[in-house]
Amino acid sequence: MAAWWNIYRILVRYSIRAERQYPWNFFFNLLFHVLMLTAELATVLLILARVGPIAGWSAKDIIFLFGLVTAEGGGFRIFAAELHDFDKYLVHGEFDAILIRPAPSLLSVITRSIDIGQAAMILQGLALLAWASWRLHLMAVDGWAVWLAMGLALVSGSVIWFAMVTALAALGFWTTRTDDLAPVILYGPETAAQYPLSIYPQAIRWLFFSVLPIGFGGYLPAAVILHKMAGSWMIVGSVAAAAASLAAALGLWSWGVRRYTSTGT
Amino acid sequence: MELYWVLARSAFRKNTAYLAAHLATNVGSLLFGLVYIALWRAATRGHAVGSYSAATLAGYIALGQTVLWLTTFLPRDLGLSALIRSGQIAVELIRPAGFLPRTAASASGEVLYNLVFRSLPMALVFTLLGVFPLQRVAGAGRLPAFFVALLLGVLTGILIQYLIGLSAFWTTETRWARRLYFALTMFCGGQLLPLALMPAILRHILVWLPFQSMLYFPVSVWLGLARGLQWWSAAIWTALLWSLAAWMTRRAMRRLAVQGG
Repeated sequence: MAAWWNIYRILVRYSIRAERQYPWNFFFNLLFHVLMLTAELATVLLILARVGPIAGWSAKDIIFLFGLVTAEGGGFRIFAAELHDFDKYLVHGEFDAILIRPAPSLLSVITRSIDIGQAAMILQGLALLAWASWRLHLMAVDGWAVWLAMGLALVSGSVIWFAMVTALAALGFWTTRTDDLAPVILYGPETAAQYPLSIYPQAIRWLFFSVLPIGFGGYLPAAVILHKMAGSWMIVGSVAAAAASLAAALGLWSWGVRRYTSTGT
Repeated sequence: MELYWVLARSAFRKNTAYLAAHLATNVGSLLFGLVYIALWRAATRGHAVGSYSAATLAGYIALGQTVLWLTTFLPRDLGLSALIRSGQIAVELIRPAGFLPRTAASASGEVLYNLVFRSLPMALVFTLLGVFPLQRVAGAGRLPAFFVALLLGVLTGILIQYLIGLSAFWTTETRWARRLYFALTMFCGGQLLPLALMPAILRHILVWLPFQSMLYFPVSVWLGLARGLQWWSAAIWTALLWSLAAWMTRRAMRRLAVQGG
């Protein structure tokens, strides 16, 4: 385990060094995400300004949820850059070279590049979270437990999203192309997770607490922290869901690797 | 003319090879629509917002999702930056027919493909779910006007992507320009929030930007909520973008330097 950790650190260091060749990328990434987030947030705030709270969630509550989901989005993207773009391994047979490495295949893939530019997204998410927590006086009611709960939520949420992108890449072992599935498995749910899940029809809500377990990453912990749902122990549900979805994704990955047939070159 | 028809048809045919994958993306696009419809449903709780009833808002979102596939979700920069980076562009430019009309013809093949295999199936699903605003256009005689509005939107979309693609002559990369364009289209085009429901200052500015042609304009024509100045804005921008594209094409040709042979 310690050996893999060392290898991981070395590989990460090299990919960060490679990324430094393109210093403007970080800047553009930041600019783009600020713009996207502003547009999305402005839209929903404009709606709230016209109609009032949505399903009992005020503007500040929704900013909190946005912050949580955004930070988690950055959290998983830093590590999942290659999984997000996994088609090239399958279409051009690059995965062959991964398989002959002594390290586990998933570890080899995710260390090929670290998208450090996504830290911009984490920072923005955390800024929104901090602002909303301050304006909602969360500390005054629950003290430091709020930060613990938020930390758990952020880590579990990032792990859940990471598991989903791993599962998406693993599906590629069957379908060869994954970019067409991404809107269903990743982008759509990511947009959906920014709003309180209670607004969706029963079937979609069920989906978000089972096959695409994003509900455990954003809505559930946010509802618990914001006292919209009783029982602070529910936060443990997020941790359990994160562990379960990671295990499921790793399972799907190794099943996929076993049935991988190269495209040849 | 026949040349352009052949180009459009072959772009259409090329796409049918990926039909199954495209149907999967449709599900994703439907999901976006359903998320936004649910958001509005929860926000309005059945009440009207401005001139938009709850049902109109759901219809607006559903129709908007299908229109986006015709105006906005075209091949990234119409494939131009790849041509420019590989040097293939040189071969494309020496062909006798104009580069801009040829590219536009092949892009319109993509649009037709999206109409048949993306917009129509999505409209069907939205209709089955009871949210597609079919009754808003039936018998109202607005369908011809909608198609004209849509045509302006499609042209605007093609021309903006063309200009983004051409910018690769100077920058070789179009990734950030494309991302910026999508972010702007979703907000300024009114994907989730119709321009009419925005604060006055935003509304007055955005109606004069080309992004309204991509979604808000054709959809409001369908719903019978369009205003005269939207027509002016869309028409002026289409003409302006076409002239700009033609001018940029000439500039780019003069700039072209191909290394090696």
